[in-house]
Amino acid sequence: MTHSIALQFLNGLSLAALLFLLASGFTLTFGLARVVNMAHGAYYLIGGYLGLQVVVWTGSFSLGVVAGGLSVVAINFAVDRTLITRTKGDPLLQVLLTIGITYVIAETALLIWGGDPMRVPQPDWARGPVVLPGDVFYPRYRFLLIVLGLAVAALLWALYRLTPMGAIVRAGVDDREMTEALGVNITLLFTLVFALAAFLAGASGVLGGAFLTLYPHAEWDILILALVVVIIGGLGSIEGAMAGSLFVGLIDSFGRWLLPEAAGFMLFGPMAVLLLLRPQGLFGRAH
Amino acid sequence: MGRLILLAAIALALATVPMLGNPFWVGLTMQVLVFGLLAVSVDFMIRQVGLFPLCNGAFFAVAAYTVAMLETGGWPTVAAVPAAIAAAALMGMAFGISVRTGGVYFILITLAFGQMALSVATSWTALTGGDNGITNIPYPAVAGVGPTDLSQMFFVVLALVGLMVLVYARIITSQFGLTLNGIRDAETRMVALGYRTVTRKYVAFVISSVFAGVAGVLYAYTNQFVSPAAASLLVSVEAGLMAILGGSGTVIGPFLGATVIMGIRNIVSAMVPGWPILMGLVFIAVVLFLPRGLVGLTGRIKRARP
Amino acid sequence: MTARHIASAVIIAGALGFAGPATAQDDPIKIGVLLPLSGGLAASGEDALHGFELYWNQAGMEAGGRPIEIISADTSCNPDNAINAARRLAFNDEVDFLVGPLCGHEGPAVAQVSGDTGLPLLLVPAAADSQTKWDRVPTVVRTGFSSSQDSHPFGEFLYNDLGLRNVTFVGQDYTYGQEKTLGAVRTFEALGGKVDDIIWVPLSATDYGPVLASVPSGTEAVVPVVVGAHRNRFFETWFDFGYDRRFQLVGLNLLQADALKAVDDRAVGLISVAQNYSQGIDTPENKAFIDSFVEAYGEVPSYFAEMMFTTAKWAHQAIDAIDGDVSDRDAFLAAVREAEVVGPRGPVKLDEYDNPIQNTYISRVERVDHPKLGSVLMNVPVKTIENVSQFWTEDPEAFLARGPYQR
Repeated sequence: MTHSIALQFLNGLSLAALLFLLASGFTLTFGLARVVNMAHGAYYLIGGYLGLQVVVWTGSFSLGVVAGGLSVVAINFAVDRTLITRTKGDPLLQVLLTIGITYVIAETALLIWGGDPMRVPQPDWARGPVVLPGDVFYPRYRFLLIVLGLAVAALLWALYRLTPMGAIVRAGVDDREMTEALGVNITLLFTLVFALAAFLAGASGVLGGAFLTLYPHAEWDILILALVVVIIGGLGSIEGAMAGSLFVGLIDSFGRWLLPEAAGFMLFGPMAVLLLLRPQGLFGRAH
Repeated sequence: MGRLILLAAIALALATVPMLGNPFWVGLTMQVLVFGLLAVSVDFMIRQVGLFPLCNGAFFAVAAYTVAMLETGGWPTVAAVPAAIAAAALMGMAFGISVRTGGVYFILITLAFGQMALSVATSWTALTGGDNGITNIPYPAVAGVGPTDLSQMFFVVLALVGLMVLVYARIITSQFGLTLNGIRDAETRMVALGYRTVTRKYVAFVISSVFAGVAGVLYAYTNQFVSPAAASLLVSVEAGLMAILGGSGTVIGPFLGATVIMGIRNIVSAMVPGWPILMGLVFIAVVLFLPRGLVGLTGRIKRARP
Repeated sequence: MTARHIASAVIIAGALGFAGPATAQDDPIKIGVLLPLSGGLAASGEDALHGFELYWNQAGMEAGGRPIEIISADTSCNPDNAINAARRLAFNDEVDFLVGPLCGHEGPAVAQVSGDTGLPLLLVPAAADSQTKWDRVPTVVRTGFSSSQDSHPFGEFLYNDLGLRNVTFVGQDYTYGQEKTLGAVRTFEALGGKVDDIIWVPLSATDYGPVLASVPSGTEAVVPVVVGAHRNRFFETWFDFGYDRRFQLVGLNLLQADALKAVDDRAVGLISVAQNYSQGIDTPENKAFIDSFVEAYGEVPSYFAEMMFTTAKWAHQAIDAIDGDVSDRDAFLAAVREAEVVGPRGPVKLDEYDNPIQNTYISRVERVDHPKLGSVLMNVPVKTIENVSQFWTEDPEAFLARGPYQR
């Protein structure tokens, strides 16, 4: 019993780590620029496939993660400059536009890589189970993913809360005009934050593809979970993305274990209750 | 008055479709009408309240499933249809808490609610038939009288969709519809004027769910089967696209949009491999070039004239 | 009757043969094929279409003295699209009969069009049990398999051949998964086997870590029935967590050919799947099929490809039997029902409920040297159960009275 609890706790953490990487970018982009980018799921997918290709060519997993991230930075830069800016902040148009982008990216990936599930090969140094006290086996890869998630969370939090640049971003989230009036080059700032968000989405595709596999429709499966994360945590908040990821990761893993039939409800039910009490999410601001 | 004549003319033109004697076109036109009505339910929220719901596919599906279960369970149409619409309305009342939010939050929250409904449809097999859905739904019949083939069913759908369009036109020009416009444009001012804006938005949301429910009922009868595909997120998303593509804020717009989308799905798909890319490009093009929709085009042409 | 009479009768018959049906003889027989060619199952749909086209190419695109024309339509694995696509094939393209669809939930939609129009449908590969049991349509004949068909012998295989007494099933929570899982559960329990748990996994599940952690510790073997991308996720999680050191893994629906592409040698030796086909069947028909498929498309055919290949052969025999006159739909259906076909999967014929009686192959993964593809992983039969009926050993009426498998 304690074995299972420990195991499910770790499972929840590893999913949370992955979701945090994806959701933190989504939430930052929204907080700063009020852009709802539903194409984040597609970024995850295409980053994963491109990273997989690089891993296959070079044999280096780390290179694949970086390549997956960077390629999505490039894609997002083009998409943002040519398309998203033209929605002029209307969330309805942004949602339609970025869902359209999702269709295009996902179907293109399908034409290139086909519909069979593919898995990013895990690096040798992360393969196989580690044995925990009490004869519990846990995959080394997932351990490392949890560590990575924690590290990125800490880094983002420190950037956001402790550095001058973070202060400007926070100011930008609160009041864009005022920040601009103070002479801050807000465009450059936006570009940097967008690039960071895109990198995280693309890299998470490679990291996720190594244990959840890549397949058509993965873009929607992961996007829904990431959206629940930001809805629960509150749009625009790093702390919210952390809390939301933990919540979704743990609920998903314990829910599937204890009440497998009701796993869907376990996820969405508490969300509905929360919204009733706090429509802006745990850490979000009322708009 | 002129608009009424136009609608009557369109209805008459559509009434000739069964005369072509090709069930493919009859079936497809019926689907356009049904999904057009669903798009109307979405457009009601977009146009009147300024909110974009992504859960109308769930109302659509719950009504369709209710009709399917009751009709195959031997209930008469006169009981099954009201029960189905009530089911959609009840779900609308439950999901209606989402109107306490706005903008992006509303979109995301309704999306999550819609997904919840989908997970029920696929996993509660005993009730919903799971992935296979429910088949062999009979055509509707009142006191033993009802359509017996596809063409007759077509006229039933045409009449009912026409009726719903008239009801819709009545609602948006009513006092209630005008207040909603006021809330959309200047909510704080309406609050200051003493209107209980959240309540009104809530009522609008439930009305929207009823329209989606009626579309779901017609869907179940025309297809004669229901499967989780009816509850997919993409049903809700595409309904929104239909509304915007055709021209939000017009009665005809959502049906025009439905025509284009169903055309891509069912006609263009046979000619172009990878047609979902084309669908995605339509989404993008609409946002960039046609935010006022196809109907907006005519306005633009008119304005361009000296 | 004089010789003169006979001669004139022959002349008249000849004249008729040339004047009337002669144009019909030149007209192609149109076959409408409904498969998902876009969306998540596009790869499977294309593979299935390849199998169908490969057969007809080998047959010279001709049957019953008439040319064959294949018109394919994309269903996207969505019943709403499938019903329109079926009507379009029926009324715009005026096909002579329909073949397909692939996804289980599209089956009833297409069968409905067949029932409404009287257009014969060769139902394949969609496998929902009900369509040849409780919801039969007179114009629909199945040439693939029923979900639970191969599960019944598999349940006995677990008990008798592997000597297992306590097993845990991991079943995909939708119609096919439930039917395939519960079919094996029934026959396994009937012999006295104990099912420790059945863990149902929804199609929306992303992570198998939590799923496998709920396997009861005392169980001997885990029997997965998972589909699509779930198969590879299950496989990876199984080894990542070291479950291979604790339980035996016996796949009822785990690694078909398409899923084998993404796994490595850890799969070697595993029981991977029980189905009406296995790539390693050692018959001349199958060897020729595999070689020509690899030659044409550069990969090992999936079971979808085989099912469509045999369906094409089946249709060919039926068309030949009625001399190409497919406009007589009753005659065509009767010919399909009477045909006995030997495909790559072995001998096949229909039972009285229009479902194939055919072999069940329980497969194991082996590394095989293929002259064209090099060293590849392939499913090879470890046990062949011949002439399996969808009702297994039970009386059909008793089976039907018990109702569908659902949890």
